[in-house]
Parts: sequence; structure tokens; C-alpha cells
Amino acid sequence: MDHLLSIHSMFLQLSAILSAGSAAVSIRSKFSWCGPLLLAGSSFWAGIPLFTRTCLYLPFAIMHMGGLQTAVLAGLLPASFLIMGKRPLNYQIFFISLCVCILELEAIFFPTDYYLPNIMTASSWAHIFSWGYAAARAFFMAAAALAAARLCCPDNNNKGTDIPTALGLASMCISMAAGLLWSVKCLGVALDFHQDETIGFMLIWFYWLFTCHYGLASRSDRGYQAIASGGGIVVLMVTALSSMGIWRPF
Amino acid sequence: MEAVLKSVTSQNIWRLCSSITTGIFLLFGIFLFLLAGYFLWQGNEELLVKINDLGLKKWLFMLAINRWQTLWWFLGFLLFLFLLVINTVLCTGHRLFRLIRLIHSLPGFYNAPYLRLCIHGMHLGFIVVLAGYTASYTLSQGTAGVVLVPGKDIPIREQGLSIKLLRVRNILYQGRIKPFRGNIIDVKALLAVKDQTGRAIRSCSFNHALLFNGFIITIKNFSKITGRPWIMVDIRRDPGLYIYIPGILLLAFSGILFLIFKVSSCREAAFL
Repeated sequence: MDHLLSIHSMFLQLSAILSAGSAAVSIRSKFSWCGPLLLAGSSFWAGIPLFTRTCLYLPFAIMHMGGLQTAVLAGLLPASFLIMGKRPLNYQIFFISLCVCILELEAIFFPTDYYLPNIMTASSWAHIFSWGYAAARAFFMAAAALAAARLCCPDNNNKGTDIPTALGLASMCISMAAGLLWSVKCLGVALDFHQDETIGFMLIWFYWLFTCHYGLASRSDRGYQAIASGGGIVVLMVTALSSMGIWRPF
Repeated sequence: MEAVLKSVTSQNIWRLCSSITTGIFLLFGIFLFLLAGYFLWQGNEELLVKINDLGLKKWLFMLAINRWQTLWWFLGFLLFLFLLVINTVLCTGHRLFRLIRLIHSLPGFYNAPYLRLCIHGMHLGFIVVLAGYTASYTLSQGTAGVVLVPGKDIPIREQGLSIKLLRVRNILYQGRIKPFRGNIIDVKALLAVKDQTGRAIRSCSFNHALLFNGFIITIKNFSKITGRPWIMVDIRRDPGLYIYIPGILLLAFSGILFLIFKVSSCREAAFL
């Protein structure tokens, strides 16, 4: 098991280097395929430990790797843009790469003590909650990167700019529904969410509700872009600080 | 004159309460309280967990008000959340009726009215979930930490219920992680439950609660060593459950529809 953990750590280091490289390439050039490709490579290398651990744990959901799940999903977004043939802006790639790099550093320095397979997570609700929450954070990070890119480069005109926010809100709703139905207050799993994780979840949810409502009511584009960019910092802070998992197993 | 002044004032109050600007201010306030709580909650876990045992009213008047110096952020959060619910009810109610009346004659893209309808659906879902939680934290009755051993009938007087553990079977970990193979990770218990209206024999496990005449019996802990088995259960009767399940489903469904209509609106905009 220690051998596996050290291989995972190596993959994560490689992934962090690639995302840092992607950030560096993206900030230096006007547009380059190199940035998104490096980021896709970074997600691939971070995805291997995530995939291995997920398979190893099945049918239990892994609840202590929220940071890595978010990093991989956030890194895959620009890759999917590439597949769809849409050219993302280098500023967006820069901000996303930076976030992915920070989260991967956090995953590398995460204590490698071993988590017992927890029976409470052996339900599809737990899987939906965990992946829905990570996806929501990744989409919000993308929305924040888009807003920051427009703040840095106001003359760019992207169609469908609000899609990442809508995706983030929908993922958050699904995750919240799964979490509520799964918890002790509903279907009866004897689960008390870790307070740190719960407050972090609500912090992201209410901040992005604030951002959306501000975007609807305000006519100031710059104000909205600044607030949405701040949402990225909130997501990053909560993900980096609360990735310790919802609870320690009994 | 007085009547005019009175109507103007009430109109102003109505506008203030139902305005989106008030909602934005309240959402930002909630964010600030939660941000403070995110860094201040440590060390006060016990005070926050007590809300589950005492219920909202007792917790608020017996504990929270006396310890407001440590719980100010949570009290502020609850107050702002209450005000946000009032704002959402007024704002959504007002706009939803207008939208339903004018849905066929609204200008703009084909999807725009339905997009707005989804937003209001999310608002309604949010209100219903919070109403359910309020009902749950004020009206639910619970007995925590009842230890059951096989063959012994345990009366729960405050709930008018008696429970007997008939049989218990340990479930071992048989997954791919070798060091944990053979560890007891779950139990399957067969319980006989009796109240004034009837009796039932049902099984439950850690992830599957026993439901009987509105009671929810949840396994909270169990013996993880072989020998004399026992389980610890929580018994609860929660009317809020029937409110917040439809609420959360409405919220999730509206969220997904909002995404679908948003994507299709953007496609229409790109096409035009």
C-alpha cells in the first residue's frame, strides 16, 4: 500500500509540474495550444491516482479526495473545450492552471494516512454527492476564470459565458439533493456532516447565489466580473482547506 | 394626508422587502457570517451539535443567547437566512404570478419565460427545504443512544414504543484492500417494533433505516468485536421529512431544467 501511495505521489508531482507549465505558457503567449494540452496532461496524471483509488474503494465513495476530484475535473474542462474545437482564451487557461496547480500541491502535502472504507459511503447518494460537489467547484472555478479573463481582457466577446455558472449551480443542486437525502435527517444513514465541510459547502453556495443575483440586478459588467473572479478564490480556499474529508471513519 | 403617508410607507416597506437588491445584500451578509464562522467554529462544535438534541427553540433561548459571544456568526446567519426567506417569498410570489399571467405574451427568446420559471422553481424549492428544516428542528421528537441487545424488550416511554432486537448478523469487509479484509464494517439487525397501533418485524442496517408508523429507527453504532453483539439506535419522528424531500427534489429538478434552458437560450442567441 505504501508503494502505491508513493507512485501516486509521483504522478501528482508530475501533474503539478505540468499545470505550472501550462500556467507559465498561457501567460506568456497570446494564444497557444500548448497551455490547454499541458493542462489536459496534468489532469491525466492526476486522474490516475484518483481513478485507481476510486476503483480500489468501490462500492465506497472516496470522501477525502475532494481537492483532487476538483483539480481533475477543472483541468478536464479546457481539454473538453479542445475536443469540441472551441479555442479557450489563454487567460482562462492561466487561471485554471494556477488553481489546479495549487490544489495538486495541496493533494501532495495531504497527510497520507490511510482511510478505512467507510460503510456510510457505500451508497449511490454518497457517490453523487461527492462527484456533484467536486464538479460544481470545478465549474465555478471555470466561471471565475472566465470572469477574470474578461476583466483582464475586456474586449473579448465570448458567447454563452454564463454556461459554467449554470453548470455549477445545477451540479450543486444535484449534490445538495443527494447529500440531504443521504443524511441522517432523511433516509436515515447515521451520518453527521463534518462542520468544516458543511460550512464550506454553504459558503460556496451562498457566494455564487450572491454572484448570480448581482449579475442579474447590476448593470456594471466590471463589478460582476470582479465579484465572479472572487468566487474562484472562495472555491479554491474552501477546497484547499476542507479537503480533509467529511469525517474520519469510526 | 395621513392615509397617503401611510400607503407610501407601506409601499416602500413592500418594495424594500421584495426587492432583489435587498436579496443581494442579505446573500452577501450570509456569506460574511459564514466566512467568519468558517474560521471561528473550531472549539464550539459541542454548542452547535446541541441544536440536534434540543431543537431550535430550546437551543436558541437556553444556549445560544447566553453564549452569543461565541455563536454570534451563527445567530447572524440564522437571522439573515430568515430575512432572505421572507424576501424570496415576496419577490418570487410577486414575479411568479405576473410571469404565469404573461407567459405567452413575453418578448424575447422562446426559452426566456421558461428560464425564469426554472429560477422561480429553484427559489420555491429553497423555501420549501428551509420550511421543512424549520419543522424538523421545532417539531421532531427523538430519543438518542438506545442500546439494544438480542432478546431484550426495551420500552421507549416518551415515544410510546417498544423495541426488541431479535437477531443481529455482522457483515465483514470483503473488498480489494487486503489489510481490511475480515473487519466488521456493518450489521444487519432484525427488530420487532410495537406501538399502540400495531407491531412489525423488520430488518435494518447501517445504511438502511427502519420506518414504522412515522418513526425512523437508525443504527448509530454497533459492536465491532465478535462475542456479545449490541446495536445503538436513534429513534425519531420527524414531520419535516415530508416537507423537505419534495423541496429538495424541486430544487434539483429546477436546477437541471435551468441549465437545459440556459444552454438552449445561448444557442438561440448565437444563431440570431
